[in-house]
Amino acid sequence: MSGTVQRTGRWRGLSAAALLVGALGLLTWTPALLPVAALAVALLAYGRVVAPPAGTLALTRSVDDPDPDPGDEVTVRLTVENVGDRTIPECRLVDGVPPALRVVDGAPSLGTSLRPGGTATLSYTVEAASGIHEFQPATVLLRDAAGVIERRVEVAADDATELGEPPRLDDGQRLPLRAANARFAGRRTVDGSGDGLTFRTIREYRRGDPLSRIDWQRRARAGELATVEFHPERSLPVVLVIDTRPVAAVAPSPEGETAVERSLSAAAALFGGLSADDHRVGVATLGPERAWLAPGRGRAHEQRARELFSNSVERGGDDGAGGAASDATDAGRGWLRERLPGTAEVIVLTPAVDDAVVGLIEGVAALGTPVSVVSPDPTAENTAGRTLARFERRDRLADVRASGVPVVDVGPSEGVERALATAGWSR
Amino acid sequence: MVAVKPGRLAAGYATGAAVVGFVLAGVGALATVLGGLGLLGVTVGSVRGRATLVTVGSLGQFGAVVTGGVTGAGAPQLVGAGAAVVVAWTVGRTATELRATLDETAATHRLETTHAAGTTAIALAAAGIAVAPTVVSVEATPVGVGLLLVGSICLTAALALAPDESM
Repeated sequence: MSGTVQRTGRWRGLSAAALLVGALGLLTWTPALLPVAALAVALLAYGRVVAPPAGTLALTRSVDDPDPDPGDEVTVRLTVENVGDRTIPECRLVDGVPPALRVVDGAPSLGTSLRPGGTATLSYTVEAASGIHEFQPATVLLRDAAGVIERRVEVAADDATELGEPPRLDDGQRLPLRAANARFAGRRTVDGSGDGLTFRTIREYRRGDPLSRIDWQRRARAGELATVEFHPERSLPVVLVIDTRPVAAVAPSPEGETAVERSLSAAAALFGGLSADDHRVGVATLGPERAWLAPGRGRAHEQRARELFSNSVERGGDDGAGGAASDATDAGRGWLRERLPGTAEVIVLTPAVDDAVVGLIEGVAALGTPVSVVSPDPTAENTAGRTLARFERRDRLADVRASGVPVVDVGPSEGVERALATAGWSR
Repeated sequence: MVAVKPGRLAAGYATGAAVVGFVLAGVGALATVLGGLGLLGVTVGSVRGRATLVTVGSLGQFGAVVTGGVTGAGAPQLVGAGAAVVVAWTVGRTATELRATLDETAATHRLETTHAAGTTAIALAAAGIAVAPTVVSVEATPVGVGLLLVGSICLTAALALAPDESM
């Protein structure tokens, strides 16, 4: 745990002051000024020989509820102990609170001094959010008594490195899909007959009916040929495209949920609902680290989706995270087009705060892919600039609707799940 | 314990140190004016979290020390004033840093008291080293004074300019 050592520049200019006072003392024949110069030189010497405190710290974190529901308040306690044999005169510590968790009480930072074996504890309360959130290592600055040299270390806590539970997918939201010509067998029955598992009727045999569909018991009993018919079952590959770019991590107020968090909540709800209807659901995130989960089914698939939703909350909340994958003008259109299965229906979850994502929606729709949009509104209108941003967003959504793409616009104070439950696509 | 915002204790201590510097260096009108302005700068800067103002205030107090020396103040008095100015500058800057970098409700009183006490101890030790030669009475020769002068300039330059090997 050596960390990085650097001088703080706290006494920058002291050497100039020493020389200046010494020179003035000589020029004005003032011997009393020379000891002042000597004072400065002695302090410079201290600054040169002093060593930074060793990073001998151990952190222990505890939370009063490791699996809280979203919105619950959880108290986090972090204890720092000096496990070395030297006093640490100055220790500044900031805990690595996951970006998606809001601190509602107390402070995740501490300034203290620690004797050998000494401990200090900080306590704060966070509001839990959907998904699993990993605590980052705490950032610690250790300085000498006068603060002229510092050591910066990152210290991970032993316990309670995660908070929360994966988003629930089981009781998700249904949303009417757009594709009329479903082509793949699934659990949803439709009015008509064809391949499937659910019995519909028995009809008279016609030439060309497959042998596997002939009711052989009836043939044995009555000597006539009949064909069994089933309800055809349809399911669709559906891809949820979530806008987790840093530009989308905006909220109507500093305390409010960001559009990325709301989009991910909506995506988790939709994933559960669509999976429950036996659709094969895939996920794509447009954040700095783009992620792609091809449409699929099954527990392992759901587990991967849960991890994706949890991780994307973290990444989406990072300030200024602009990886190589981010392209302000493209928003990942080309990347997405390369991956979309030809038969997939696409639901884009985006706050629509820039034109790039509109280009992506229109680009995907131009391929003939049925596209729908769920858009959490992150705008406010308490200032002229914010009102302008709201009008711009409305214009963008109007453009999207004009290109034939239905939109669910979720108001700033409206619950995403409620909006989906009552959703009618607006065109 | 009464909750004190980060930096408040340090700001109070820096102001106290600046008052000491002002009192010790305030010999003559110009030194008093400079010291008073410096005291104001350190106080306002450390309380309001303006590091530049703290530095400018300390510079004013440094000017008061130099002016006081030229006016005729004694060496121990000037060294004491200089040490007080260094403490005010250092602790005042810490107050602004704590205010800027830690949360408003963070507990920092232990850090601030240790830092203030530690800085004061270092400044007093340095002041002791600086004043010691004036207490010891020696017969100064021109060559000795010249060598001492060259040596002190070399030492200052070396401390200020030498590459840092500890990093």
